[in-house]
Amino acid sequence: MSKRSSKGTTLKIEIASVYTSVAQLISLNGPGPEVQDTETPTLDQVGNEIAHDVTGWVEPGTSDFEIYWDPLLTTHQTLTSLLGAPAVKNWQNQYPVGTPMSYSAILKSLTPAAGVGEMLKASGSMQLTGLATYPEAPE
Amino acid sequence: MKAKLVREHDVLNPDYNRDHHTLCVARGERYPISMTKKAPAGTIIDHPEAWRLVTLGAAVPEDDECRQRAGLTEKQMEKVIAAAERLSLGIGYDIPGQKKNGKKEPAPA
Repeated sequence: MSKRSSKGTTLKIEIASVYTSVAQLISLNGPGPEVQDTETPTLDQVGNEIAHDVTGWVEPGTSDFEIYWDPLLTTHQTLTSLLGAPAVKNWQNQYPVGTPMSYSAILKSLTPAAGVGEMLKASGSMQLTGLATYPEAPE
Repeated sequence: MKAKLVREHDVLNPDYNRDHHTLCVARGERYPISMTKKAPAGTIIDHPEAWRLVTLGAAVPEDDECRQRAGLTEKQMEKVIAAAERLSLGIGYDIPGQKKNGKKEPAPA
């Protein structure tokens, strides 16, 4: 058992087949897939519990991030360009250890935020188009 | 449209197959092919969006089409490359024309 620092975590987006980091990342949450289940009680069952079973489907989920937003920074301009010309992109969450978590996703939103006593920020949300591949230990 | 990488980068591995990977995971097996591979500095990227790599400081134009679409002067390119280098090292950045310590930098030549 060990505890890992999140320092050094990066979010990368694939542009022209090359992965580049989204600069000034503050937080990265997700993806959060959800296994679909369904309630399967029957009229002739003995107990009174509401049984659940898996349907075999998995919702790939969403991934959210927050950045110190700089409208002049090219990596951030790449994100805003995806709002005008939506596209499925390849992304990676690179944690300080292990192989990257990789997934394809649509950038659904990027919301800038300005406030007194705060730096300019933006929060983004992605909808995954398929299940992410999770980090593995190096061979 | 072509651009040349100025540093080593992770790029999509053409041998990777997501469906095969998903199958392996479902079977509890290890998929032997990485989704990405390392591309050394000097690698030529031929892609309609290659110009974006130039504006990101990841590459320099390799043809006129890329140079025109990126729209950066040599000096601006040097700056974005240096800024990308600093970012990759976690040092911070500055970009042409942006205020630094309250002073506006001179416009690039």
